Amino acid sequence: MRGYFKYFRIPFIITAVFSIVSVVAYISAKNGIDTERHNTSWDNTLCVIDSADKMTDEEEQLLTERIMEIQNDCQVDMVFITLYDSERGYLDKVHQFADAFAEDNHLGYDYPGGSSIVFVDNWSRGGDGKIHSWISTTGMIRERISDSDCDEILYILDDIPSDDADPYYEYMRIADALAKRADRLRPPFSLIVVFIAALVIAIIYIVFNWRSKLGDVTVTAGTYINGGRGEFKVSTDTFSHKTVTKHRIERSSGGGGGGGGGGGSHGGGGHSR
Amino acid sequence: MIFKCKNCGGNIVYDPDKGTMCCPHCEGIDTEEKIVSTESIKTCANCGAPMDSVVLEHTSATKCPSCGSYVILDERVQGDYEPDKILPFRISRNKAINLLRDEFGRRVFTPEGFLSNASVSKIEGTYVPFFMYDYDTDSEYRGTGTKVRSWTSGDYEYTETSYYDIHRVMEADFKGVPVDASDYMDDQYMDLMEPYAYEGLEGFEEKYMSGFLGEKYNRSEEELAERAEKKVGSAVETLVDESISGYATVKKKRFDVNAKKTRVEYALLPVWEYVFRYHNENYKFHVNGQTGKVVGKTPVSKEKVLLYGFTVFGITAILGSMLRLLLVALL
Repeated sequence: MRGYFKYFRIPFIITAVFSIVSVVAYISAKNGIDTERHNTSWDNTLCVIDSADKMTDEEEQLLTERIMEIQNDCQVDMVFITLYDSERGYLDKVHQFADAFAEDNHLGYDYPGGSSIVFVDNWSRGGDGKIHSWISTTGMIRERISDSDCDEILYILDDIPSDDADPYYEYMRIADALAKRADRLRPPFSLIVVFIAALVIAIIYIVFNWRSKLGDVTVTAGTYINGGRGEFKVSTDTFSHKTVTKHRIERSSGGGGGGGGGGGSHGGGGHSR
Repeated sequence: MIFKCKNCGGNIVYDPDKGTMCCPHCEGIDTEEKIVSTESIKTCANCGAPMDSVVLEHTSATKCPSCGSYVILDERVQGDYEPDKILPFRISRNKAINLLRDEFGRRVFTPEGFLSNASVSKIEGTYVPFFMYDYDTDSEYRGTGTKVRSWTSGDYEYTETSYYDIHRVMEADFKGVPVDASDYMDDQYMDLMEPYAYEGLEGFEEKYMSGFLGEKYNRSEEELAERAEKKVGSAVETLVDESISGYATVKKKRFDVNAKKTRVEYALLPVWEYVFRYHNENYKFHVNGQTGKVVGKTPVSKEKVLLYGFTVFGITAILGSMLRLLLVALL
């Protein structure tokens, strides 16, 4: 065991020091978060606007309470809006509405234009016969919730069985999914990643240290020959003949690439069902 | 036979560091006196104790289990068994132990006690019997090589393949191709011990064996010639192959090697052997007694693999988890 501790003494010390530094930094960061809301332009108690009247009053109240909680925990203004608006019956129209809502109403937890999430679900089936939804994100929250996250979260809406169904449970799930991603103290990678990486490193360590070979071959072909090499009496390479073959080159016709989109301060993702 | 010190009467041995006979008792140099035994070879020439347990079928030098003297068995180093040459040890016991520690000391998964003083001090120097063969060879190779050139013209790609007749005739004279003549020594290990520097070969003298173990040849040079021919054939093929280059493909049509044995010498070559017993298995390690080259495969302690592997996993997992916390705090 003495050999064991001697071998691992430096890794043990590094681990201990790094652990102390990390825990202290985490506790300091957690205690040092400024949770006070600074934006007075938008009343963030207005969390649920059920214009399409899809939920009961009690459900609206419960959803509002949950969103209020998320707003405080994640420091983000969050609004869920249902519409029944045939004029916005396309995804890009819902997208524009969601972005404009955030801008026009000066949403933002830290300041107008700061962190906000606007979820819009337009129940009016558009020209393509689909219901369109959009999550618009603004400000710092975009670093935590990516556009692909928004796309992924909106798949929850596919669980709503019909146009007449109550979407309360799906909306609650969307709120929870947004909260999970918006958590300020959310680690950048999961514990599973850590354990898989540790397992891989341990296996590499074992394989590397296990390998053992008998010895290196230190004899060459010329070791036992006078002068170390043979004497070539004949060494000729005579051209004999040649063959030529040809084949037609198959050329593939390529398509042009698309252009890039414009800039903007909003992120988000959409979904149609 | 035994070598005794004229000064103190102790068993005088050959000292690889000094390159002379040296008495370990009184430190006398070149004070040896050869005492020829008149008893059976299984009786110690020093104390008269029976040596049945250490004198085996091919043993030519051994250590008396009773008095610890190094005894050379006269009839196994004389007559038909008298070596033409001997390569005296140049690496001493302590140097051999240090070489083993340098080579294997940092292996993590070796069992406890693998290179401990108690264990490694059992290392013994042995003179291994070798036949050294001289061969004159001539070889002829014929084959076809191809070179490929491609280019594009219009909508077509052209490939031109040129064919060449390759012809090689090579002569090579091999000197002293060694083949061990010991059944006890593993051929693979002995091949890896090579090469020895033959400049150090001396005419045979029994005194070089004092202080070491030894064997006479177990098999005749005729029986072992096949291995030497294989070595020679393989070397010739490599040399011819190395002379052929620049081709995309090479196809061998004919390759004849004629090897004519011109001379054979019987020699004793020095090898240190350390045997470590672990889980009822012997792990052998050899050190070339002249060049110091080390050969051997270390045993693996499964308990250590588990303990160390789990520790690395634990340390990495803790560091990864702590990194998560730190990144949360910093980002």
